[in-house]
Amino acid sequence: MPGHTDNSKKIKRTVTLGLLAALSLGIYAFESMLPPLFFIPGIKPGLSNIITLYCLKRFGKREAVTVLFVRILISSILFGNPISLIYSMAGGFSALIIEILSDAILKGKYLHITGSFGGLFHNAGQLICAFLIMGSAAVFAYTPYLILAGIITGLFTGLASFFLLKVKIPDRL
Amino acid sequence: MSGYFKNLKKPHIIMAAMLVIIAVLCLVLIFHEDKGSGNIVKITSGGTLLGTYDTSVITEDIYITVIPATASESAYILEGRHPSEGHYNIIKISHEGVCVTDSDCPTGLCTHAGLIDSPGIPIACLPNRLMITVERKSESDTDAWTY
Repeated sequence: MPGHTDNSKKIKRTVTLGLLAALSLGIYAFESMLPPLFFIPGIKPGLSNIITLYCLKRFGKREAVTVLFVRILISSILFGNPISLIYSMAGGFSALIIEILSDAILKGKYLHITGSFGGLFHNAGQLICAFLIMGSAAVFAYTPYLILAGIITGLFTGLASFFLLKVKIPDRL
Repeated sequence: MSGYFKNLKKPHIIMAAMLVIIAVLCLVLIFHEDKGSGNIVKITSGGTLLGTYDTSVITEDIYITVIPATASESAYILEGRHPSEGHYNIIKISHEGVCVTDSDCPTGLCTHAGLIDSPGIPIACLPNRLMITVERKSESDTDAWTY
């Protein structure tokens, strides 16, 4: 029955994406419990980007956008506020857009470079967002710290998702 | 030499080089950051300047409470320490500089920033839209103070 297998494939994909969104949310929650690394807002490991990159590579652009959107929406409802939603959306989507572009330019290879660009643009997006919300150009004093932190953490998350992609996830558990 | 140019055509080398250049540029900016001290403390909330304090004339520590803008009220400053039910940041301004001593924000990053007295790096509290910057007196002011 080809119709049946097609349907079960769809269900499996939806369930997998749901699990990935939950995993991403869990990583985000764990990360928000860690003590701050530095007094500058926005410097954090960005570990949930591992899942976003994984979704982008394993499933595709639309799936990555969906998982990212669901993660940001739920995390803001559970742990945040409307303002943190704006920051997360600005950072998350500027990172994902540049990661899609970078992945296309690099033909799917060198995921750590893609990750670094993602981290860089995540922080750049949040910085512009902070400038608009805070209404003060003084936030740009943080630019070199945030850009450097974005490149370093992005390199790490890019490598982490590269190794995650090598793991074969069994069809049946 | 031809191999070198062949390599340049590879996008990953160009992109990695871009990242390295940006990272080095950031490091240079961080190391060349203004580490001198200033004495004009400016308190800004949501883009509006709420207060300016001159630390060089302060002899006793000043505590102020900044209440950020809500839907109905705009931001304002209260003299003294007033931890309230809503959002607030308590700021200590002393001869040495300025720091946030207490805040209701979830991470408390602004209190982690410690005392600042340099124009190089400000203190920010994103949830309360608070920005504390230190500036130098303009040259003419310094002259007026020195002589």
